[in-house]
Amino acid sequence: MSITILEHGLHDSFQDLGRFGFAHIGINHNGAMDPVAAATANYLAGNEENEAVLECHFQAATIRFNTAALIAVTGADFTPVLNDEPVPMHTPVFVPPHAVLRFLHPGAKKGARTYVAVHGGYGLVPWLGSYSTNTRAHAGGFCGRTLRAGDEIGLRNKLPFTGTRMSPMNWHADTASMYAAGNTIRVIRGNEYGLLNECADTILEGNTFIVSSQSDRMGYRLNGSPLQTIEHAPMISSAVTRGTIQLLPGGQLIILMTDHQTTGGYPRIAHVISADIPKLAQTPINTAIRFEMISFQEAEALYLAQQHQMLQLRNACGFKSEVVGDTAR
Amino acid sequence: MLLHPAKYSKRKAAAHRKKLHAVIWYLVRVTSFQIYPLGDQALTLQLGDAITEEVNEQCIALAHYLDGLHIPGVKEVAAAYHTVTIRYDAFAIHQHAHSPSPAEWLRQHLMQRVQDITTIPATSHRLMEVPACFDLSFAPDLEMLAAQKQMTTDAVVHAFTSTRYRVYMIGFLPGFPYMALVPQSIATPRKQQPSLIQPGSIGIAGVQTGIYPLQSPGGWNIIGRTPWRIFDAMADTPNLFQAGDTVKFYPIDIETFHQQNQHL
Repeated sequence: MSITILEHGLHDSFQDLGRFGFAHIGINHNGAMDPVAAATANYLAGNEENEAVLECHFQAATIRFNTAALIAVTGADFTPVLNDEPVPMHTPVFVPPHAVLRFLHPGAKKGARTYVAVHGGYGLVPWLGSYSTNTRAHAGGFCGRTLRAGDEIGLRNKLPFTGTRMSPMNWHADTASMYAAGNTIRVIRGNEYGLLNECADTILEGNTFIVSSQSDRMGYRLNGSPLQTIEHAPMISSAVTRGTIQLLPGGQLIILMTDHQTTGGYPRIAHVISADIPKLAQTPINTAIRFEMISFQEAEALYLAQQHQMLQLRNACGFKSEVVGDTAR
Repeated sequence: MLLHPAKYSKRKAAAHRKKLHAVIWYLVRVTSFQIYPLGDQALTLQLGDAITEEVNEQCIALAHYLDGLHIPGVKEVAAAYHTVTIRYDAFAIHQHAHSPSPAEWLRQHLMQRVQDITTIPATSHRLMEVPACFDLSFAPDLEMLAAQKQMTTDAVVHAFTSTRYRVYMIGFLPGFPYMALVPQSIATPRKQQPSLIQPGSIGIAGVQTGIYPLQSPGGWNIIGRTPWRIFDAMADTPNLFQAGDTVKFYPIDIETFHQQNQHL
């Protein structure tokens, strides 16, 4: 029971919702860039939200299913096809043995990461309690690295599906409301926000910034008008989080993303709110974004509302999975 | 990634060769601190304004204490130079505490738990005596640093190895120890242009010194290399160093380096 990578993509890796508890020894969290898409893929595939998923960028991997499987594809729509038949997004899909999944197009500037979950999960060995890939430590996920052509990864579940063609379910999850429309990313003030001069305040909240080509899972380097501080006070290194916006010495900004280091020494000007992390994760390179400063209370409320929706989605998928289980038999 | 049995026993042998002093226990009084949000799912407690051993000691002890409380919704507690950061799942706290503001609930909960204690036992301390080879083939930045300081390379090595360093925190890379204070005579800022640094490399950045656990780009000034493996992902304890350790380097020649070399 396995899949084989026929062609590898730009950056394919296994991720769950992150590896926590080891920052004190410098082990960063990793995890899916878009946690909503990852959890949704798992719910649709009848898994717990923290099961490993395959995260792909475009170009994405070409995958052969050596045995039947129940999968779900979420996140960016890279036009997935299974044996050349279009695969509906956000839908549980039965896959027959020997079927090949490939992704045809980068999705017209919308979305940057796609997720493939399989019912029962991938046959990976957890490292320090998580399946997320840590490429620095060369551990976690599949051999601590991105996938290469020829890799074979086990599947834990044997599915008694006897069809020879792809069979999607006639229902799907709609998570569009969790990605606010427009190019505005909501942020809250960081501890070093007060170091910005007046001009910088205006730039931060008024200007657009471009997600430069030097952006990846570690962080998004932004191009835009430089910001300056009222004084230059070298910071003592302390903790940073995913979504922390640091001010670099040249006045440019970097938004730390999922593979960020545990600590940093640059001023933390602002933090992207948790509720907008999925949207930011799906923002492709060369896209313009702008920031909107909101209150801490609003940020918390938005995240709790999003999580309530995810819980409802989980419950709905759970109910549907029972039906799916019957269909599979 | 499998660790070969031969290399694993080499690591255990190295552990026995290190001189571990007995655990030093002393009572640490936790003084006042500030709390600020680090994004909307983490809180940072700041115990001081500068890098001092006393404040760092309190941070390490406080982090251990808070971690041991297993507060619902808390995912991780970690100390840095002068701060302790608690990362939490806001929804989990919301479900547990039914509080409209998980951050507020956690902040109050932390204040209460910390006020309940007047002193907490400090964590154990170890003295690590670490072999280091300062052969120029392992020290690409040593000659330049010596020239800048108008010292001989031997004098730089002597100043570096005569000092005991405290490990203030582990960060940046898995197992990377941030140590201080490098003597002013040899303290040098990071390089402007980073280079590719080999595992085991010992560097200086300002008054900090550190050891790279993995190959990585970096701007620290590399003046030597240890044969010891300082991070092993598959070991029971992957990190060789922990915050609170005292480190002293002793020079070895290149033959000894190759005999003791633990790097793959």
